[in-house]
Amino acid sequence: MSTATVPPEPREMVPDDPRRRLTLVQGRHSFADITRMVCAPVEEPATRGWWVGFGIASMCLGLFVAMVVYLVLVGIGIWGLNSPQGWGFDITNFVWWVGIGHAGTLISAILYLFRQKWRTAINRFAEAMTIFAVICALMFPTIHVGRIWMLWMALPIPNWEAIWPQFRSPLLWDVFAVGTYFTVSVIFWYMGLIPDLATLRDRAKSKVRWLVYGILAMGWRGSARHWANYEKAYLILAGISTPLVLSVHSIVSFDFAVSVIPGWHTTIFPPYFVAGAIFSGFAMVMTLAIVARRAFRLTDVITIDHLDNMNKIMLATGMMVGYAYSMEFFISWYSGNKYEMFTFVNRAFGPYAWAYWIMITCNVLVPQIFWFRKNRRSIPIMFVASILINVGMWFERFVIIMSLSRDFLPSSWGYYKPTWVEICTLIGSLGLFFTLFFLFLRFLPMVAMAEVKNVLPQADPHGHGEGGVPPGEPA
Amino acid sequence: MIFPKWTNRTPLPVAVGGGFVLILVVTAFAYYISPYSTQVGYAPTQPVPYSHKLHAGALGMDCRYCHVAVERSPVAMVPVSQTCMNCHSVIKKDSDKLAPIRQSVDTGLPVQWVRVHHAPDFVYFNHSAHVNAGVGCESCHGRIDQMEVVRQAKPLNMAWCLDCHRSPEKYVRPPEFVTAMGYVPAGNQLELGRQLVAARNIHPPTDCWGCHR
Amino acid sequence: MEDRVTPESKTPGNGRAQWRSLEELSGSSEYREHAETEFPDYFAEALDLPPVAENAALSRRSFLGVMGASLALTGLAGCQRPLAKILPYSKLPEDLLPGVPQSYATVMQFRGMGEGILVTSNEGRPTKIEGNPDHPSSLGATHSYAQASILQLYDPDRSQFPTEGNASRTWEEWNAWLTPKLTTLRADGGRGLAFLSLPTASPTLRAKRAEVMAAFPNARWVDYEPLNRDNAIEGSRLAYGRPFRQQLALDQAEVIVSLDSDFLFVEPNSVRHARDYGRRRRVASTQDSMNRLYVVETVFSITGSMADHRLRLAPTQVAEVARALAATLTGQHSMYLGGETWSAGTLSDRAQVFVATLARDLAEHRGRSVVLAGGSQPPEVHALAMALNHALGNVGPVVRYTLEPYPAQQREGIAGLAKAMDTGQVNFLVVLGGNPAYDAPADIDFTARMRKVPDVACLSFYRDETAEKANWHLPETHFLETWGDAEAWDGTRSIQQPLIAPMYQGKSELEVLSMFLGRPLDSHALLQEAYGREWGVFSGSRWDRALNDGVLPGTAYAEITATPDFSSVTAAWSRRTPPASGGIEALFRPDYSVWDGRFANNSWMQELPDPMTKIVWDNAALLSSKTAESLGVKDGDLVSVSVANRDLEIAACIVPGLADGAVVLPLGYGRKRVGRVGDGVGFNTYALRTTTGMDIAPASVKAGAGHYTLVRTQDHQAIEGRPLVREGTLEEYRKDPEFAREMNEAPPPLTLYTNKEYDFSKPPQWGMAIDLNTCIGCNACTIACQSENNIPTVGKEQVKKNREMHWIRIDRYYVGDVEEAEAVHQPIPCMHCENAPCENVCPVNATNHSADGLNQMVYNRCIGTRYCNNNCPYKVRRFNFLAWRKHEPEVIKMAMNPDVTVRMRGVMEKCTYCVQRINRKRIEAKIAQRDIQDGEIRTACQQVCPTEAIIFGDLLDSESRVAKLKAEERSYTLLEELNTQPRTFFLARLRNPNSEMEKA
Repeated sequence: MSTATVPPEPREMVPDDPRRRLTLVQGRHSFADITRMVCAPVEEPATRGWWVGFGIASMCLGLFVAMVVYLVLVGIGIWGLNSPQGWGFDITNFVWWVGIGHAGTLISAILYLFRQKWRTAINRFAEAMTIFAVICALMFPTIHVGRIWMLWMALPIPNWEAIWPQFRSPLLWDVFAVGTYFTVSVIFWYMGLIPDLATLRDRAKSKVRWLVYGILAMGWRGSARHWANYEKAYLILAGISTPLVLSVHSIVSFDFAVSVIPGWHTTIFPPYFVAGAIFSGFAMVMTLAIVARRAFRLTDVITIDHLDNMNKIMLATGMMVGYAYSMEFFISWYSGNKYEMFTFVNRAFGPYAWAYWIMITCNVLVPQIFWFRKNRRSIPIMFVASILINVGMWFERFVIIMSLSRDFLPSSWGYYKPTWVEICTLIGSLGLFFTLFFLFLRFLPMVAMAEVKNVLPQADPHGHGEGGVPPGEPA
Repeated sequence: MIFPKWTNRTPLPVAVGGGFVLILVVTAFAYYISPYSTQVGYAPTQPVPYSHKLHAGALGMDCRYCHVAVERSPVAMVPVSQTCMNCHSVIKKDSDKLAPIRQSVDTGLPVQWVRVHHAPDFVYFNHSAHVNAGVGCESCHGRIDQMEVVRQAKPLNMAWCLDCHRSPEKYVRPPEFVTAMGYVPAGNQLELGRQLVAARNIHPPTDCWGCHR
Repeated sequence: MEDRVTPESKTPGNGRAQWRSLEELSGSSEYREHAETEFPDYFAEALDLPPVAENAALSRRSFLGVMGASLALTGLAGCQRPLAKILPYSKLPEDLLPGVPQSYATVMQFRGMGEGILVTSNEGRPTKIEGNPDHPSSLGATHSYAQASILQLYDPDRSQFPTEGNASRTWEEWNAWLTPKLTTLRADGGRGLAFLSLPTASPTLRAKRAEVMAAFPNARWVDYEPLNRDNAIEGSRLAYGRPFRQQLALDQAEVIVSLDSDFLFVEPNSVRHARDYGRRRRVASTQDSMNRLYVVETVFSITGSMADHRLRLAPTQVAEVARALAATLTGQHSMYLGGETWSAGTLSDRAQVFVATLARDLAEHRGRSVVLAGGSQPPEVHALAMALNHALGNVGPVVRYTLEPYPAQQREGIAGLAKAMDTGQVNFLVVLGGNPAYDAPADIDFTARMRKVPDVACLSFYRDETAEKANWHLPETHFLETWGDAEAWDGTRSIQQPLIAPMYQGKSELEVLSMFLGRPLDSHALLQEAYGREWGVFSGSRWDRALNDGVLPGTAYAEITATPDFSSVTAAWSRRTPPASGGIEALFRPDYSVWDGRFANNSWMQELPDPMTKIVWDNAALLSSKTAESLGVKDGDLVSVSVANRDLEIAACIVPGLADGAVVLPLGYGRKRVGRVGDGVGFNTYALRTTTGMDIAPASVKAGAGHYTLVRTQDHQAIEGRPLVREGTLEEYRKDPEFAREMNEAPPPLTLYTNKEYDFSKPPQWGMAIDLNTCIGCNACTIACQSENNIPTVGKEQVKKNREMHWIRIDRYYVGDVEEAEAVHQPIPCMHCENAPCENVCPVNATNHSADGLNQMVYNRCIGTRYCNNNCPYKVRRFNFLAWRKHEPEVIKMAMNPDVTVRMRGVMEKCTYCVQRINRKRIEAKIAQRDIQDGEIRTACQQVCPTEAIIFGDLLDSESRVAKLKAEERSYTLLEELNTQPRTFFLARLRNPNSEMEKA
């Protein structure tokens, strides 16, 4: 009957007319149902599916560790890098992972500030994904020097040589930018977790569980004052992390933009990189969400409308990226700089044309399917699309870095081929990412219960009785 | 009631205490790896118990009598065995302590002295440059004339080197006092130093390639 | 040896013991027994052989390279402290100051002539070779071979002790074996005894050989070197009836004609030639003139790459040009060639125009021109060239003649010897120095002949192809290990003094011959004896003077004046069989890296890119694109070349500007028994070289099966129309001196960076000028830099991955169309930019600027992000991708320059302007309270350069040479639109074409 009282379709998640607001959670769930649904994967014994997934992921992680050890013992020479081509897979992977690590904070912070209530269903594991992605990203700058024991020199710490790092170097800016972003993301994520941790604590059956969750919950009792402080802190943190979303990838883009190399030395990079980051980040959230909601029967919480919205965002960001691609070409022609012009012609038709066209296909053409509502709401289509987009975004970074292979002096032109070690390292980093993600699914609530309950009909002060659950029922 | 009431008061002390411990550990480690703990005072036993205290101190021999290359070469040069015999073929000619020297002179094999002042391999220290610029032996090696067994007196780390390279006037001496031990500047060192720096056109390199290459 | 507790440092010794202990490591047990008797002490003292010095810098530095982790530890302010030993001398050798390198004058024999050198010695280790400015064949410069010979000295694969069959022996055992043999030989005047040696420029050795022949009158003595001067000598016999040697004064020549003569590199005395040629190439103002170089050749040679007019022709066609030249000059320019009439053969139109213009130019420059015939050209071409020079009045002003001191006909020599061996007339063959089993003509099949000789003794540097077949092998000394002497090209004599006692049990040919005379002595005694005889009484002071200067004044050959016998020249030409048209001709030529194969085990030379093809670690059959096309062969395909029914599978390499219908085969590769570096590298082209076709032979080429990986240091040959190498003609320059600067793409841009950070106003401000007009691209600078700066080699596989480490590379671009391409060379060291892009991207400040304007690279600070090289527009930075020196033999460390850090893996490195040399001079000047004089500091590349194309100095000193060059209109900087403000700048290249050539 609840459905009868509201105006007919189409309903939206963010309507002008509140009566046409879509219930963000499908089905008639009580607060308790939400709790049960979300806590189930954490409390019930792990499914076979989880074990299989976790097994594969941790094997890849093992591969990653092996490759890193090999690298540290022998040196960068085991990679395919050479004289014109000082960077290859290493930095490509770094930028790719950092990009992926963008969606989380964007969803939780910016959408929060914009009062996008639908975010509640996905922000938790979007943030988790962010943190794991950034961890993977941080691996690559660390190992790409080979002699990792020298890295301390890049940190501004007092030393007996009385020298400091070089603050004009974008690589150093990275250290700070990514470091800050990581710290804030972790705090933000943990903050949001506290009420749910308390729920888990209260539901704990074993001593270990309540002890661990208890300590993590830091004595949360759900009192009015707790909630007041919590909301305030959450708002502040959201405010802090919003600029970070933009700053991090802008600064990462400086790694290339401040150089003199044609194809790198470009003012469009910061916005271009941020858009790309959000693009790939959403794609990754998408991929994970589609699997998770199916696997853990959360289709009512993470509804098809959520996915629809995210597809719209991907379409938008995908077109921004496409615009950047074309603008790069235009500027290189407009600049009249023959080195620039050569680089871009070389990009599209040179030895790395194959990579370039993969990029164009995946990043510009594929998202266009989301113009159609049917595609936006078709799980298989969007699943494939999201994966293709991530591939495309990896190649975007690859293409940019391959500008090195043909720069100013033809005498020093070269060609870079990755070795098996680099490929295994990339696969390994995926292993690291998924291992962490599987652990997260198993031990933490993947949906922010407290926040989702806020958007249930019965949480709406004007909607007494809606959903047939007496208000104030303990969750 | 899962946790006792007192646990509510834990966070603050934990935070404060943790921070304190952290600072302590860092400082301790920093000192542990610093040259002050690793190098200063390093005094290995030498194959021949040669006493600088006796020779340079009591007998007042000039450093350059044995370290002949110090003014002309990057290396000060540990004296060749023959140098010892100049005197010891007459004095204490059959002391057991000198056996390794005599042996070396007979066999032509070197005496294996143990290096005390050890700059890393990528540091190209040049004795002649410093000595001729008026840097006293004492400034880097300490009161050798008081050492029974030579030990490293100064940390010899880069910051320490830079201190003098950036403001030599704090340390330079008139050439005639370079080998003097326990030298006291006649008047204000800074003024004297500034005059010397100006007069002898001393500007030590602070470029990396001044010492590393 | 401090810093490390190794067997050496446990068993320390005086200097000689140091490398003997290396020997002990290499496990030759019987070494020790004879170690004492090896060198009498007076000998050692005469050499000033110092023990391990206080700073045995060798181990100090190599410690860094070997134990990488320890660097990290010292980087962490030394949490642990390696026990370091100091090993002073027991007795200080006179005039040796530990820590201060010394320089000794000596001489290197190469190409049958002596080249004077100065050798730098660090506590008894020779580490660097420089040219001797007082030596007429050097004038202070050297070629790459001299530079690389230092590595040869420390080659661990050198033969280290005598062997009989495969059993190791001692010299005593050899003498014991030899003595009875000699008594029997003396009985019948040495019948059946045969010596096979290399031609030598050492008068003392020649005298000793004569002595031996006197003692064994019936013995036979044969000289053979695969790259000999038979043609030139025979040519002179034709023209003058006597073997003459040409003495060139190229700086007097306005017009130089090269008939396949690579006088700038391959021909003897090339270093001097290059210097003189360079002098007439240098223009400071529009008033200055330039010589004009015509080159007729088959394949791009270094000389050809410098040509103002180049004509590519098949090898035999070159002779036809000579003939046509004679015809035109006699016919149209009334030149007197003994009144004989010459008829031009058939020539292509292009060739005819070339000859006509050239003839006119020569006729206009009588007495100021020279015609040079290449060593690969047949005698009649040499004879005609000599005749032409005489007729043009060039003999005297440009060409002078001296008597050839050693005019043995080597081709006949070896053939005769082979016949004798075949017929059993030889029962004791003594090979002194050469490697006939590898490089003798293929039709002789020397190896098979050797089997017919009961006793073969072989004195050689390696236990090589010949030595392993001989039943006695004797190790030969390196020229830095033994006493001797040698004559320069003009005869000026130098004493060859050793820098180090023989590292192994080697002996020199001189010493071995003294054994045949029954009184074995060491080279020092033998040499003093010889000079005692020559001077009447041995004068110590005169001796010391000679050692100090490196030359004995007034010992040059006497000049000879003679008139050529024109008729015999014409006769020779009438005998000449005209070249068969069609078909493919093979041209054999020395390799720019390994010469005739003797440098095959020298990793520096193996990794040195060929100046033109840029191939490393290989040779290949060079073909023109047309020829390749007709054969259906692509670059790198295997082809089978057959000459006189001998086949060889070899990789094809397509070279622009190569004559069609010719295949060029560089010699010296495909060694089987030389060492771990050279074994099995490349293709043995000697297999196709026969007595009848030593230089040029009709051949047939057909596509083979399969592909071969040729590795080049420069894959892209075209310059993409970018103004990198700027060149113009002399006329253009005179019209518009600023032409090079006007080639700049963009106006100098504005910059966000201000130079406040660095104050470049205080002298000195270092800079380097590279004159593209005189640079001949000979690679000497690359090797000099490698030797000076401890630059590692990385091997073929790594070069394939663009990981070569050379700090100064020479870019070679082809200009114009593929067939008639012209070539330009451009040496690229670090530019030491004032706004260096590498500096502000390094996160740890490992690269930054010094007060005197050097772009510093600090190895111990570098963490290896490689960003600096990414951001370097010139790509001059080199990264240690792996621990290149990890598997290097211990002994190689003795070749290291103790003043330069040996870099570990994961560290970026690059040209430093030889900062160690700058610092040394700066400290010297400081101590002496004086300023550094211009020219006092010379970088390794500058010092070695034969044409003085590289000049280093203070840009602020308006009187300095570099400042003057900077002021020249031709000067420009690379990629100046990037506003990197490079300190290294170039002077545009000028060509001096004959305007009539275009008209025609």
